[in-house]
Amino acid sequence: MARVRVQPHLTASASAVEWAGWYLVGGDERLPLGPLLHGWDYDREIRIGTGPRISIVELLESTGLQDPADVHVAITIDCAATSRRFVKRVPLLDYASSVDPFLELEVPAGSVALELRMACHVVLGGSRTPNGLAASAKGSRLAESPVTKLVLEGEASRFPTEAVSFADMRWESAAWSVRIEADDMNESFAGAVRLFLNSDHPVGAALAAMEPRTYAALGGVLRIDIVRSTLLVAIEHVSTRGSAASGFDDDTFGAAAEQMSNDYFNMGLESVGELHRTDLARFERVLQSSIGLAIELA
Amino acid sequence: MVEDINAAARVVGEFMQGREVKENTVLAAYIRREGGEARGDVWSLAKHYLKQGFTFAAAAQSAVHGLQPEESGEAEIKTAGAEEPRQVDLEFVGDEVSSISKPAQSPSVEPLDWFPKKYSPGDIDGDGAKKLLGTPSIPLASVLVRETAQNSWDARTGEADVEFVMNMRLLTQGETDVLREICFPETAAEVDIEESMQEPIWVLEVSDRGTVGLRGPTRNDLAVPEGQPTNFIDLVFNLGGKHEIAAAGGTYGFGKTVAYKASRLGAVLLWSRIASDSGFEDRIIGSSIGDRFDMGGYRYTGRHWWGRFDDGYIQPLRGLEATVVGESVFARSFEQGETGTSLLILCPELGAESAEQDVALLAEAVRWHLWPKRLEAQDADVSMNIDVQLNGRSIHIFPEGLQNPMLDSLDTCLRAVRATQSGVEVPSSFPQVEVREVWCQRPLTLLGHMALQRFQDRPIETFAEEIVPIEQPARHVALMRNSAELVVKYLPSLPLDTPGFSWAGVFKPVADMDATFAASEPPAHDDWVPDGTDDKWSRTQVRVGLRRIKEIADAFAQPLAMPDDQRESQGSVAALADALADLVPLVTASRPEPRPSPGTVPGNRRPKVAVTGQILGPPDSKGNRLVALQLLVTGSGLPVALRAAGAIGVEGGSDRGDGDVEVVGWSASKPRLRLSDVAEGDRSTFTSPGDSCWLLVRAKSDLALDVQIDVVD
Repeated sequence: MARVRVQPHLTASASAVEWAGWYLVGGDERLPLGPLLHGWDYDREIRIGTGPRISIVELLESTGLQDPADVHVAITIDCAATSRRFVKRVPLLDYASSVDPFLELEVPAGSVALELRMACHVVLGGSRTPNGLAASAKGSRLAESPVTKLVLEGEASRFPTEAVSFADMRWESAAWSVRIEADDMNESFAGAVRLFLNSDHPVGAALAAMEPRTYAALGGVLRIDIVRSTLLVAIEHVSTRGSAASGFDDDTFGAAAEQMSNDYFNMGLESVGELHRTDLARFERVLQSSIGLAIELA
Repeated sequence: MVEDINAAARVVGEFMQGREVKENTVLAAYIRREGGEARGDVWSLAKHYLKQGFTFAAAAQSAVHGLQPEESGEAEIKTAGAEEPRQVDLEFVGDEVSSISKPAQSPSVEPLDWFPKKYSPGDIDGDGAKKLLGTPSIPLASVLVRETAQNSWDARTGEADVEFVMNMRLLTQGETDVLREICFPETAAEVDIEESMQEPIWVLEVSDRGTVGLRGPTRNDLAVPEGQPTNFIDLVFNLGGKHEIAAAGGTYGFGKTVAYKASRLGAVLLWSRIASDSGFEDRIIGSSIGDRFDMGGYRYTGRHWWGRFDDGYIQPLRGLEATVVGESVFARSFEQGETGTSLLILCPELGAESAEQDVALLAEAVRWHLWPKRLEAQDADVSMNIDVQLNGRSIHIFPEGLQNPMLDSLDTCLRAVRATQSGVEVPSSFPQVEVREVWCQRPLTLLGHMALQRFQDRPIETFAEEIVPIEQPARHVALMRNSAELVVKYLPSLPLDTPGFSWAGVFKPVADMDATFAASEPPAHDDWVPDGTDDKWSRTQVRVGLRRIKEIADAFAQPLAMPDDQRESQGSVAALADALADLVPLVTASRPEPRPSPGTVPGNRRPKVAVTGQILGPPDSKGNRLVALQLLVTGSGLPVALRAAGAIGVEGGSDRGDGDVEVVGWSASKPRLRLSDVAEGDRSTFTSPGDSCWLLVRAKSDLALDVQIDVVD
């Protein structure tokens, strides 16, 4: 199959515009964007940009235009899930005269979801007198890059986590808190479990920001705490509330607890409960050794 | 200079109630003069200002009108030795009661028979029986008050108010002699009841009237017909039998062992009058729970009874003999037509150093655990009138002027909950009471209602500080059952975030949930323990109920603390959340993941078509033009069939349009772009003899076109 869009005017030749890749911009850094954006959630704003190389001479010749001042470069970022479009446009002459021609655009936190579609365009900046087949209407597309998709969300697992001020919550000033409210083992894991990071606490804030040294030092401790907290609640359900120890629906608290007991203890919840009851020291040793304290950062 | 109280009283003579000129009565009169009421916050404030040394007038004016005492214009007069005591002395009602005249000689009744329980399979000994009470979290005096009051409330006839009296009294020598010679004439050497009663002893007489008494059979080995009450055997002989009484206060009866624990001798005497088909019948029986012992080659459990042997079974003394004995020992007899029960606890020890101080414990326990009973009765129910006495002289349990803002607030909260559950308007109050529903979501159930009120923080005045079940500042919810309205527990929560103020609350389940919460109570009825119930859903409901009560109370006390649904996010944590994702690999969430790409089947190369060039034709007079697209086909045998379709190109997609875009022809070679050369008819398909051809599309000259070309299989 071939699919093509034919503009009603002359467009730029292939040699006039060399499209570039897309980048995630943070401070002075530009990281190449892949098809997936990791570490994104609704609380994160992102800056995305690209830097096509444009030959003004070739562009004018192929499009039949006379004055480069009539031309703009633009990027569009569309989000179908939220019906939002973000646009940045600069005059071609400004863009081309820059030492580092690069066009970037901020996508505010909480404004997009699921997937973004990004494209770069060379367009006519303003209307002009028609002249043959040269573009004359404002916004005429002289060149368009292929659309690049960026996946923000999928269905892969992610631990329910929030950063909050513990002072606002009238909680004690711990660095983090694992809160589990599961009246039933078949409750949704995401609804029952929450890791709260204390934004008031230097360690909590550093973990929330994935500060490398802090995470390397304490990530293992945090993981152990999470698993311990989950298993203790599950054990209590099984041993004192008569809950089943297996056979839970997907995405439930019970399923996650059972998976943790199998992964880190190589035994079911009842056996883990028995171990906790009879040999607490060994329970802790197994927990620590199977999860590990050292975190290696990529 | 100390203000002259008599002179102050003369000023407000017309507002004085009663003749007694005391600080409280004079202050109350000044408050009434200002148009206020001598109760609640106004009273507390006035007392406070008075203690600070202001005059009666200044204190009253300031409290009623909300002024600072200096603004009232009254000079401050320093009172000598100003103090703020927390512990207050008991106040008695009326004059000392003269002892009731009792017969000088012991009644001519044969001494009761003594029955020590010999061990047999399944028996529980005395020590085990006492342990059934568990380890209550509240003082013994409080357990005793709660348990006996609950039993009396359960036993109400519903035809008259319940009269509940706790009388700590010193027996006369004659009364003691009757106890020793007739009621407890014989015991084992290890049980020192007889020895202890050589001198007059103290007893705690707990009596109720307006109750049904200890009805039913007096033998616990015989089958009981369905529906017949078993009050007597349940209280006297059985331990742990479930009372089949819905929404009652004492459901399992384990707590009745508290009476024995309150007795230094572990012994009690019971006198009950019941109504039967043949008229009224009195029953008297002595009972004791002590240590097990050996006698005559046999082992005994330590449980004893004193009554009458009948057909080999120990039974109560009945009829006229019981009446005679009862009136010889008990201070309170039965009026005409009355039924009920009196319990005599021998040598009570409640934790204080003297009997008089034990009375203070009882009075304070009544204040904190039975205060709901001073409210008017609920719909279609009777009231319970409670009296605590020392040697027959009543105590002011709720004296006017005794500062306890929490009890005042609890009163208000209970009225608010009652109104809500009755479907009537909540009485207005100051400060305002908030009433909240307490729900369980799974299963969806309205569990009950909770009322909460803030009040000005002031020290609580008490008869016995050790009985006060709450810590300061007050921040507790009184949990109670729907019908009984007896406090189960004071559940603590967060203190108020406003300095100088405290709060109190009341939670009552709805009637339908009363049995659920009742089943969760331990033997001492001093808690709600979710795991104490057998039913899974009941456990959930109780657990969720307690959690919701705490959450609502916390939010009330410290509303600035964000509730879950309003807390402000402090930034993205997705990176950490993703880093921890491997802990829960099976939990579906929102982390992006690579999408599987469709695989290619080896050896199956589909033909492809590509657009390699385009020519725009000139527009005609109608604004139409021809567009020629050069196509190249690869990977296919020849000839190759092609199909094309055109549409208007718009932002974000295509629009089929209304004939504005149309495939009009094909050409094996470069075509001439003359619309006049275009033939009519469907030209959407073409069989190309070679791998290259041209496609012709007609369109409006100002439209962008979207053209799709497919190789037809």
